[in-house]
Amino acid sequence: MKLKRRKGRLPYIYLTPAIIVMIAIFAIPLVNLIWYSFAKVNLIGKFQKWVGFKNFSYIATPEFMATLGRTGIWVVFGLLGIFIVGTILALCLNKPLPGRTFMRTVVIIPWVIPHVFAGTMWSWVLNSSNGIINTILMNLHIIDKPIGFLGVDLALVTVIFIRIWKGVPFLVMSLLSALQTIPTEVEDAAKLDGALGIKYFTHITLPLLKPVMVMSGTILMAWSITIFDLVYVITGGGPLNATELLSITIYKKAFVNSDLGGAAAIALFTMALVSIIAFFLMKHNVKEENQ
Amino acid sequence: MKRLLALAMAAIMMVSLTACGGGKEAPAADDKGGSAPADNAAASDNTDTKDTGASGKVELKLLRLGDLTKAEPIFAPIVEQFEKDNPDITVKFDAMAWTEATTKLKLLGAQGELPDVTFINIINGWDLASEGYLADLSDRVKNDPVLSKDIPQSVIDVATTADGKMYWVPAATGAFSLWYNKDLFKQAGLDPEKPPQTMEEMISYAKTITEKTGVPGLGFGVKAMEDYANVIESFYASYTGVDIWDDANKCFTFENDENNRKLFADALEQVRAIVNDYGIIQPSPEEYNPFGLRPLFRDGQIAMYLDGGWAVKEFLDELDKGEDSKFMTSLFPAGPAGSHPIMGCDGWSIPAECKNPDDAWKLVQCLMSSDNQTRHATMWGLMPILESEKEKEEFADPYWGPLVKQLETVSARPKDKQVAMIEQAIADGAQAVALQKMTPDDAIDFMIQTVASNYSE
Repeated sequence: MKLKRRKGRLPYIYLTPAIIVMIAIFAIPLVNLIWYSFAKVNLIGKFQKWVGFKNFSYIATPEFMATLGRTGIWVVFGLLGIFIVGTILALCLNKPLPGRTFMRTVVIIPWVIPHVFAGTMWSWVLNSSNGIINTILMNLHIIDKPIGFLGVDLALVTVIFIRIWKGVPFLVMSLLSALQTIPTEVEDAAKLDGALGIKYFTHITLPLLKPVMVMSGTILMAWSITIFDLVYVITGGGPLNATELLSITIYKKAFVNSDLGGAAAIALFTMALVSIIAFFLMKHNVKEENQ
Repeated sequence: MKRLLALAMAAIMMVSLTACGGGKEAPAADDKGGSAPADNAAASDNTDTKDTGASGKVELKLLRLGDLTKAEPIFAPIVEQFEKDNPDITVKFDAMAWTEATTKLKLLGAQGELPDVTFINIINGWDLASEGYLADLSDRVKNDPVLSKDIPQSVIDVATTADGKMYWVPAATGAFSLWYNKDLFKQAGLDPEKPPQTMEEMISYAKTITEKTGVPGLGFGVKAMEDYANVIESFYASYTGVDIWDDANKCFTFENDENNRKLFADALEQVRAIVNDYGIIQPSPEEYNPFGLRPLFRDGQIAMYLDGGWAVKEFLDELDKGEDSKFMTSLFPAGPAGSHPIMGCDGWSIPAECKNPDDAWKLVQCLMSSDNQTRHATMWGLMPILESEKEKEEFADPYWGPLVKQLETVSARPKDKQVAMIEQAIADGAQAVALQKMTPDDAIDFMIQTVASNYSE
């Protein structure tokens, strides 16, 4: 009887360390975040008083709606670019071309460069007075005066382009792994059936890549929403808030306005948003797989 | 996650910095940061109250914000000499990165663990002071026969609150001035010995240089960052003659004063015109904060720009050429009320809960001695702050003259715990004017409303 009871407990004992780690990693910060979002808290996390839903009131303001819209544009166009460029590159690099290994290594480089350095580097490259792009275009007489890549009109487009540059390698690696799992028999059979080029891609490759694309897309979406340093280093969220994304608003609330409660409320909102989108994407994926 | 990491790092920091000689039991000197010098003097007479380490010596912690590899060569010899002169005191020196300071210093303050002598910058200083973590040093400075005379009154004013409290002894100061390129002046037929003195002259000179040389006469950055806010504050003070923030009433000085408001609108209109109307500045001003213009100035791509004594270290290679140097400084161009740029003012503080405030003060006095301050200034790249330093050989080069003279007519940044938020509102509003997305009046209302809605007592 005793032995049976002990055996019954054993799995839980084995699981305990993992559960403790999970609680430490996920539950404590989450509880902390929820607690802060309903309180007035100073920058060192010192609780001052409960404020109910006051911290969430910023979420209903036009400024926040504008930030949300901007973040939506950043995520959608960023992902679109990453998927178009990433898929083309992955398909090319899956072919037995000369120098393929070297090219695969080169493609990964943007991914391994830290965000802060990448941001600084692009600021130099795009600078209107000394940036290499403007210098080349001016020397080639393609333009008369420098392009303000980081000006009010182009700043968001520019940071989306940089996001694409930074995000493509991850998708290329994911898709390349998936492409290598497609059996050669499938390709041979498709060729016999006359499925070539675009037809082969849309009817064979794309459906087989879809699960990986959904998973990678979910991860890339979550990263895009939470990326802070890449954009902050380049534009600081400006000019005139043209590149102020959710993550920058959270930073400014916490570290410029010393309003940790307000920052926590936006962070909680962001987390809920990412979770809901991810949930539906994953659910859709599971449904399709079952079919 | 970032917060947790910050807290974890701060916890590690607390383990490594056993501030104020350890013990937490003794009561705070003053819950509002006042160290009550008379009481402290009495305490110092009673050796039993001293917090001593295992060696029987008083252990002091000294902290400089910045890079340890840069700070250690400056302070190690000073500490060594101090320990020799005070055999009953040992000093442990450390440095903390600027980027980590905001969270860590507050955490240390909340735990009563701030190092006995801590270098404080404005962004963190007013916040720590408002929480009661810093001792008021005003009486100590007043009663110090050397410092009371050696620190210029204009600097003391900037470092002192409306109610007469001084929470750190100014050790690192610098005010915005005008930097110009003598070669470009000559090429444009201007006399490099007669730089512009007023805003109008600066614009006129810039027009001439742009026309004659093709190089933008003036560098002007409007990126909404702290230093852009500082330039706008300098414009404001030079137009109105007063600081931009009323720390007694916790509001802008243009909020309840129509004349100041009108003058500020004029100043913002001038900024708008500089950026848009005269064709005298570099392309894309929104890409640059004022300090970001240094490479353009260094490479001769702009003829003039506004920067402070902080820029000296950036141009030393050229400045070291003495009379042959192509760079020179001049006073911040005067507005209707004169030349009143803001002054950055960081310095040495003593925590309110320090167990050995008198010994800590001895260390501050040592750090602020003329020779040590000069060592600090020359090796770190700071202004000569003390009267006794100004005639020294180290500061004999001609470019120092205007930078030092500028300190006599400075204005103050907001003396408020929410200085970062206030300056962000100023920078955002002024940027909108510069990029013609708001009128000066709308921007002024925006600044007032932004601060009002984000200010928390």
